[in-house]
Amino acid sequence: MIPKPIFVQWFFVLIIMAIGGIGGFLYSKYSAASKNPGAALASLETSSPFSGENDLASFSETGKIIVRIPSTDRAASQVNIARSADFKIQGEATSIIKPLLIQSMLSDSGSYAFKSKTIDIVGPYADDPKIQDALIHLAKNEKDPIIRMKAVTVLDKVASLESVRDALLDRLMNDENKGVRFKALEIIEKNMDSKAFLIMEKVKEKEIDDSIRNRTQAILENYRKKIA
Amino acid sequence: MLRIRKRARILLVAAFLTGPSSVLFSSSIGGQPVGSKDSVSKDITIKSYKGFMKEENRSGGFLIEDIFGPADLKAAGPVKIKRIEGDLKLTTRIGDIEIGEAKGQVAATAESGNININKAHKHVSLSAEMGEVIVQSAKSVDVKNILGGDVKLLGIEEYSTVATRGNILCVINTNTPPTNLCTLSSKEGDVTLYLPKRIGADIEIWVPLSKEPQREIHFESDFPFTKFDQRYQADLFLILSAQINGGGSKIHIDIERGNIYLRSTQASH
Repeated sequence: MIPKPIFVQWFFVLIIMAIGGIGGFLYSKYSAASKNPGAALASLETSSPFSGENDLASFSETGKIIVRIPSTDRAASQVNIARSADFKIQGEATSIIKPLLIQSMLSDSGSYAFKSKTIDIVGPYADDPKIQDALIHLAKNEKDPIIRMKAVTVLDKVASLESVRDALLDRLMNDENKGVRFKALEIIEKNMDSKAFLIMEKVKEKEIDDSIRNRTQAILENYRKKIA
Repeated sequence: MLRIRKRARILLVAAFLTGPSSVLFSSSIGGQPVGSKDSVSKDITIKSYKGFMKEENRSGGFLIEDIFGPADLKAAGPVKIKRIEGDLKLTTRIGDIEIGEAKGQVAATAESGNININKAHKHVSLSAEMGEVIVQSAKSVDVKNILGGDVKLLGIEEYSTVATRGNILCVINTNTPPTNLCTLSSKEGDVTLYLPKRIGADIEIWVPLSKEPQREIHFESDFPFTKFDQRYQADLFLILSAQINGGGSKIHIDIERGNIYLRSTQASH
């Protein structure tokens, strides 16, 4: 057997060390990814005048950053849903975006923040019959009581209209949330008539909340005195 | 094994986020006084009250013009106070709270109604289970909006702390910013923060990671960033750190689904 020269032996040692090093590097990468599944998926997108991705230290101007929050579920991350589209409504309810706002209010989808902002935007235009219908729809059908209350509150300024007052009476009779019922009651109190009186007689019997029932009774008594 | 542990931690965070809300909601409902079934709603109207006013109205609210002293009020209905000289402690079971001017500290809770404060000279601590909170001006504000409506703080002199599900609008007008300027937490809304033009601040934004599909958060700033960085807190949070005007006061924002708008007021210090 011919002995190998010393440099050949060192060559093999170096090859083994290199393989070990690469293996260690890959293992550490794999471990980090396992520990933090989102790390590999996180991304930042900057708009001009930022200088671009991965160059964030050089910001010198103002601007906008889009941060993509990765999912901890790799499979879910593959579905790239641009939720930001929900949040892009700003400014005045112009004739262009008004139909879109109305359409979105009539839809069952949409986040709390989106619906809340939509109501803020359309609030000043509550005298528009289409916006009234959309607000009534939200007041009756929206699952979130805070949005229902907000819609009811905005309807206050047009509560003298029969369609709106009927919707408020419906909320007073049927809304499961006492805050919404009370807000409807406060608005109806300012727009009392014989029809509201008859419905509120029923509310007085049916209402389980003491504060609402007591206030209803007081409003009825005041109305009786007024028409006597 | 690793995956099981990871899921357990995510579930723990979910329980932490949802747990306290339901506990607080149910406990506060049970603790309130209610009027008798035969009583009629009666709002108490007071033109002027001198000294310490401690009252409870179980069948209605309060309509008060002036309180020359501190007050401790409990009401079943809405409360309107035009002006109060001393500290105010106030709880309503239903209906809105409206305060014109409070010269002392304010601690107010509305179980199901909006809170609207025009001017508070000292610290304001508010809790609303649902409905909106609006403070036109105050020295400092602490808001817990348990089920979560929108919170609008339109002129804060010192600091603010807000936790809600809805949108947050906070306008800070301060010449001497404290170390901890504000902590704003929103689960489903946007956070819009107005700051004086030359204020130095270190902003930290915590975004919880979850199993839901990739989300986007839009972060718009009127201020140039002197530093910007992102890191992970284990696999639970993505943390964005931004520094404006060389850093200084601390601003902490927790956000899950909304966007962040950092705006500059014209005021400078």
